[in-house]
This record gives sequence, C-alpha cells and structure tokens, in this order.
Amino acid sequence: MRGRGLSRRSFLKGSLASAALPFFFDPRAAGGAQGPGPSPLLLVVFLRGGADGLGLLPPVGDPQLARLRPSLVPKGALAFGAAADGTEFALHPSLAPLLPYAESGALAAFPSVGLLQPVRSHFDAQDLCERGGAPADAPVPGWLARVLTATGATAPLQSVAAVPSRPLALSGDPAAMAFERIEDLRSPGRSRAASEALAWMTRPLPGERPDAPAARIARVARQALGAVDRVHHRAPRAASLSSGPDFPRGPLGTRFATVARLVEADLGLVAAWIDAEGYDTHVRQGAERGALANRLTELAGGLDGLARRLGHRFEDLLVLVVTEFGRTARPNGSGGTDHGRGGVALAMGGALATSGIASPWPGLEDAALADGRDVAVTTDLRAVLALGARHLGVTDADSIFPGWRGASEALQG
Amino acid sequence: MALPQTDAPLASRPLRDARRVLERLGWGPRPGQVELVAAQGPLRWVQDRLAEDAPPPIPSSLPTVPAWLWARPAKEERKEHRREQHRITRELAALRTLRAASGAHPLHEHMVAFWADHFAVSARKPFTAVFLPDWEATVLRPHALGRFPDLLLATARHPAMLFYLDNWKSVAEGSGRLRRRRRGPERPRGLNENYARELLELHTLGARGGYEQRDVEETARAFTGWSFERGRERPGFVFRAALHDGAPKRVLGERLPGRGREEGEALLRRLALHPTTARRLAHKLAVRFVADDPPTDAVDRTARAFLSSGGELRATLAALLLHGDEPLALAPPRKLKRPFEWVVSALRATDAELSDPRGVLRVLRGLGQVPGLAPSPAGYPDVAERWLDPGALLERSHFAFSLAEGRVPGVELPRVLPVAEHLLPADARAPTREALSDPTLRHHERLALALASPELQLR
Repeated sequence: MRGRGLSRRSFLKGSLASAALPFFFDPRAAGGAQGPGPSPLLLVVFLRGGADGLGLLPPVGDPQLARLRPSLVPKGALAFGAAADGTEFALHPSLAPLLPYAESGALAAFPSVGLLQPVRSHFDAQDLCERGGAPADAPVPGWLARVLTATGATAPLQSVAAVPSRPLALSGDPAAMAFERIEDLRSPGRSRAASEALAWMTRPLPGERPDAPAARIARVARQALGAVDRVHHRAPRAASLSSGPDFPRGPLGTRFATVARLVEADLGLVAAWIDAEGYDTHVRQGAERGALANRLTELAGGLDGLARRLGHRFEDLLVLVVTEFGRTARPNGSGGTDHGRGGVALAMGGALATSGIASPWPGLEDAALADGRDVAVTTDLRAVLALGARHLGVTDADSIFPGWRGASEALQG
Repeated sequence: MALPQTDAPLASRPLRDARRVLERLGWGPRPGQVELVAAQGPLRWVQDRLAEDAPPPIPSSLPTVPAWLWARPAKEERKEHRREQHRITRELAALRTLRAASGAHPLHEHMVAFWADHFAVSARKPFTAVFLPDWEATVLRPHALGRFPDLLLATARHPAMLFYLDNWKSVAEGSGRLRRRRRGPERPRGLNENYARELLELHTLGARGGYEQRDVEETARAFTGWSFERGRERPGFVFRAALHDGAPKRVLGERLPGRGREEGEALLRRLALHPTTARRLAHKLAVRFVADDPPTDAVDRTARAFLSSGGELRATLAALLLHGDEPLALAPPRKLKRPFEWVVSALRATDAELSDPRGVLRVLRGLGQVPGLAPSPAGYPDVAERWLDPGALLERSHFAFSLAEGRVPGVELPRVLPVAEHLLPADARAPTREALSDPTLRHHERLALALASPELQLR
C-alpha cells in the first residue's frame, strides 16, 4: 500500500486508547451482553468410524437380535425404553453413567438414524453428515457453521472444536477454532512489540481480494488473536481453572474437560464439537467387554463429567451424539462388523422435550434390513441435527439443510 | 518513527520463479538457495528433479518385525511392546522429517509423502507400526516415482496393508480352520470387506467411481486368501489357496479372468489403469502441487499422460507441471502448507540443524500431522478447508517463536540468523513487510514473524 499516513504504532495506540477493550472485542459476542434470558449451548459429539448402533443401544426386545448376532449382544444391558411399536431397547452396560439422565428424562435415543443415501464409505458419509446436504461448493460448507452464521454467533470462542483440527461441520465459520486445551490460547510473542507486530500483520487491506490466499490466511489469523485477547482480558481465570478429576483419562476426556472449562470461564461459548475416534470396529468388536465397550466407557464418562461440571448450565445444554452410519446386523468373519446404514444418535440435556426412544424402529427381520444386511434408516440424520439448530434459535431449518423437506417431519426435541 | 519502505525492489523474474518452484516442490528454500536456482533456471531445476534417479535405499538399521508379534504375550510384556511400537513410529517420522529437511531428492520425498497419504497405513492401529519400516523401504520409496500399477500391486501384497485393512483375516465363508477363541464356541471365519472397499474408494476409482456395494463384496471375495507369512522377521506375501473363494466373480460388470491369486492381480491391473482412476489421481496430484481447485484442463492432460504412459509417474507429473508457455510449476503459490510442510520449510528457512527430531515431532503432533499416524485410511487431508482455522494458525505462531528463539529441543540454529526479510516473497502483503519493519523488534522476533506470516504458509 502506498502513501499510508499512519504508522503501525500510532494506529495501534489510537485504537487501543479509544477503547478500553481490546481492539478485537465485539460486545455482541459476550455471553452476558445478549441480554437476559437463556443462553443455549450446543455440543455435538461425533463418533468417528460408524458406531455400531445395535451394540450401543441393543433392541433387546427384538427377537431377531440374538439370532443375527449372538456373539455381539452385551450381557447386562440396562433397560432404557420402548419404541412406538413396543420394541424394548437397552443401553450398553458401559453407558451406565448415563442411566440417571435417562431416568430423569434428560436422555433420548434415535435407534435407526442415518443418511438417506446408501453410502457406506466413511469419508463420503462423514462429508454428507457434516455438510448437512449442502453441495461441495456451498459458500458455508458446514451445517453447524451455517447455524452459527444464521444466529450471528461468529465471534472468537463462540464456536470451538476441542480437537486438533477443525471439522468440516464448522467450516465456513471464520471464527470457529480448534484447540484441545485452553492453555494453547496465549499470545505467541513475548514482547509487546512482537505481539503488536503480529496483530498488524493480520490487518485487512482495503481493496484486497478476500479470496487471495494470503489475505484469507491473515483473516483467519486475526480471529486467533481475537480469541487470545478475549481469554486474556475477559477471563484470565480460564487458563488456571483445573481440568478436574471429573473426566476419563485420555484425549476424549481432555476434550470434554476443555468444553467444561470454556463454559465455566464464561467466554460466551455457543457451540462446541468433539470427535470421538475408534468406532470402526471391523475386528473383535466385543460385547459387554472389548473395543466398543471401552469406547463407550470413555464416552459415558465424558458426558457425565460435563453434565456434572456444568451445574445449573446443564439446563441450557443440548448434546447430540451422532455417527456417520451404523454397522452390519450380523458379525463379519473377524468378530467385528462392517459398514452399514442405520445407526444410533443420542440427545442429552436439561431441556429435552422428549426422552426415551424417540424415533421409529424398522425391526430386524430379513425383509426389513437394508440390502438384507443393515439396520434400515427410518429417520434422516438431519432431523437430529435440526434439533441442534432449533436449540440455538434457528427456526427455519430448511435454510441450514438445503433441499431437505424435513421441517414437517422434524423430531420433537 | 520512520515509515517502512513500502516498495520492495522489484524482484527479477528468475528469483520470483525460483522461490515458487522451491516452495512448491522443494520443501521451501534454504538461505541462498533462491539465488542459486534462479541462476540455474527454475524450470531447468524442475526438469532435473523429475529426471533424477531415486535416492539410495534407506539404511537397514530400521527395525524388522519383532519376534514378539508372533507370540501370545503376557500382560506385563504388552507395555514394553507398545513402547517399541512408539519407538518405530518415531524413527519413521524422524526419517521423513530429516529427509524432507535435507532437501536431497525433494520431489521424490514429496511423492513418498503423497503415497503415504494415498495408501495410508497408520500406526494408530495397534501393531501396525511393526510393519511400517519394511513398507517404507520396499513399497513407498522404491515406487514413489515409478509406475502406478507396480505400486498398487506392491501395496496390495505387503503385510502392512494386508494387516492394516484386515485382508489377512478375510477368507471364503466357512473355509479353513475354525477361529480359535479364548471363550465361547468356535466360529467359522469369513469375509472382511475393509480392504476391498478402500481399494476401490481410496486407492483407485474414488468414492463416486461408479461401483456398487455388490462390487465391493465381489472384490473382497477376489482377495480372499491374500495374506502374509507368520513367524518371520521379514514376513512375505503368501496366497492361501485353501482360504480363497473359488466361485466366479464379476466386478464393474466384467467377469474376473484367471483363477485364485490371478483374479486379484488382474483386478489390480484393471483398476490401476482405469480411466476413472487416472482422472482421480490426476486431480489428486494437481491438488497436491497446484491448488485445492485445480484447473480442469490441467487435470485432463495429466490424466491423459497417466493413461498413455501406462501409469508412469514422472511423465504424469511432467504433464501437470511443465506443460505450455505458463507451466504450473511456476504458478503463484495457492496451497496452504500442511503442518508437516510448513514445519520443514521453517527448519530449512532458518538453516536449522536437527540433532534430535523428538522436539519437532512433538510440535507436529500438536499441529495434527505426524508422518505415519494418519487419522484414517484416507491419509491426511490436503485442502486448506481442513487445516486453516484460527487455532491451527495460533499454534503455528507459537512454533515460529519457539524456533526463532532457539527453544525447540534438538534444533540448533546457526550462530548468524538469516535476515527475516529475505524469507518473504517480493510481492508480500504490505502489512507483513510493515510488521517486520518495526525497529524495536529483536532480530529473532522478526524472524519468527516472517515464519508466521501469511506468505510463508503458502506453497
């Protein structure tokens, strides 16, 4: 840029002096500034790999279950509820920590949710789930990013993915940030000059094409510095809050702890995302013990820990637990299951309008199985995702899920 | 305070182009390298890289499959085994880092990384790590710039792939021994379609490649019996005819020719040079070396070169990079460096010496891209949409400062640090140049700012 009349230093001094707030600060972004009333909070937990719905939530009342997969039905499953057709379902015994939520009406399960497309590829299916039906070149590719854009919640730290890199569902939300621990949110420069220079480097240039590669990177970097500023100025406490003994050890527990700490520090969190890996159980899946059981123990521990830590904010919370597809009804040749169709989704929170088994069950008779091998899909996954959109105040779910005529068939959440 | 110089001296075109080819194909310039390549001729440099022989094989000091893999370990031994797997993974990641940072055979090294993603075999799955040294030495490296059909066959036959995608467990329904179980009744073994699906979806045709679930199952049946020897230090491929499904099979509407092992081999040959595979690989290479949304005509001509050369990768890359009056090798940088590429380019830009790669590997873990630990069989993603978020850039800035301040364990910087401004391209954004011009900044801070700048995230 030619002939600038302002040096970097004087620009910064001016902007910092004119406002006592850091210059990235956006008052609308602060949770407290939205005025009185509820501050809804959404957490999406994505079970990566295609979680086995029949293992997670076995339809113990379906006579076909034991015939199809005698070796994979967990012993000691916990009675949960019945579908509209009377079929009884139970929670996998590793989900025992969730039982109190089920009993108090704070847990709902959808036993045959999935994509309407017959997609059995992880990558395609996850892509479809995370785009929510939007085409590949949509301006805001991720469904959750579209929800946040629609509600104006696009300031730093309003949306966080507590994973190493940002999921596609949040792609297109310029401020959506991925980090596993709050400690990571500190200024990189040690001196004031370095911090200021870093901020200056991210300055937008008038007349610059926004899609120019370097401009795009500068814009995203600016969001990062904004988040650092907020943690520094608004909630120095956040960095010192203990992650507590409430969470299972390991990466998944850390991710749940990060979400809890962001809420506790009152940083204005609106939507959080957690990936839980390891659900692609092709080999030795196990029943009441084994690979799937271990994953579910971590999951239940994380959900329970979060709910406990949130205290009264649990009333504001909706957690959606989703996966890209279910798995084959029968075991494969290696004591595991292969990619299938209908899977399970869970909803948990303090303000659910429904609980128990909340969507229809297609049954496991051979004629009812999709392609003769998988649980059929009776409920579009987007109906579950739409609960999240509605929770955050989006009434027109069709705008979030283009081409979906699901508003009329939307679930009651 | 003096205003910064807003007009950098206009770079000569060879300097500009030299920087571009070094960023795109050379893991980023070392100090002084831009000038050298400019003098030599940037296009000439690319041609030389395409023509150069594969580097010598990697040292045989890499571990072979440890004997314990074949035993039933006691519980207390398993911890030690896990440690050994971590050690193997670390050594491999270190090897990749050192090779890339050294700058020797840079294009070969890029293609090793490319195939490591395309045919991802990830040590995240327990026990996979023990197969990786041989996979690296006998599959990825020798074939990185060879013929794709040879590479595809080598991947299909290697224990690493057979194990990682479960094909060694996939047998004709009801064939062979019954499965031994510690508890409960014995059960017949059967088909496992994991490898078959990824072969079609990830290794060849692609997810919308025009196949159906039935093709996946028939493909899985074609590969029943493809397994590896047990109990060996270097287990080789073995075809267990007794476990092979002998029924005829149709894939993509055509009957598979031959019998037994020939079925799978014929299918691999057909898939390797299928026009859909060609198109998909051409697109993937263009995404790797040009842009997330590469020009259609470039993808088309690259796919044609792939097919007409029988899958020769050098000819394929030449068609992509060197074609026409404005070859894409010299196009302005439009790719966000992935974490590994960025870290390597930062090490090169600062002329850093790696005495112990563990510190750098820890950084790569934080940034989410350690070689050998891909999150899924699809490998690490290769588009900015998946890597560019505020948290990731913040983490990069932290590393830029740690590196420039000499705080990364195992990394030694030269006594005289390079001039930060020399790291930037001549057409850097004004805010980047201005940020560096503050006279109160210390030298290492200026260097860190350059490494963290938007321009240095691009290749």
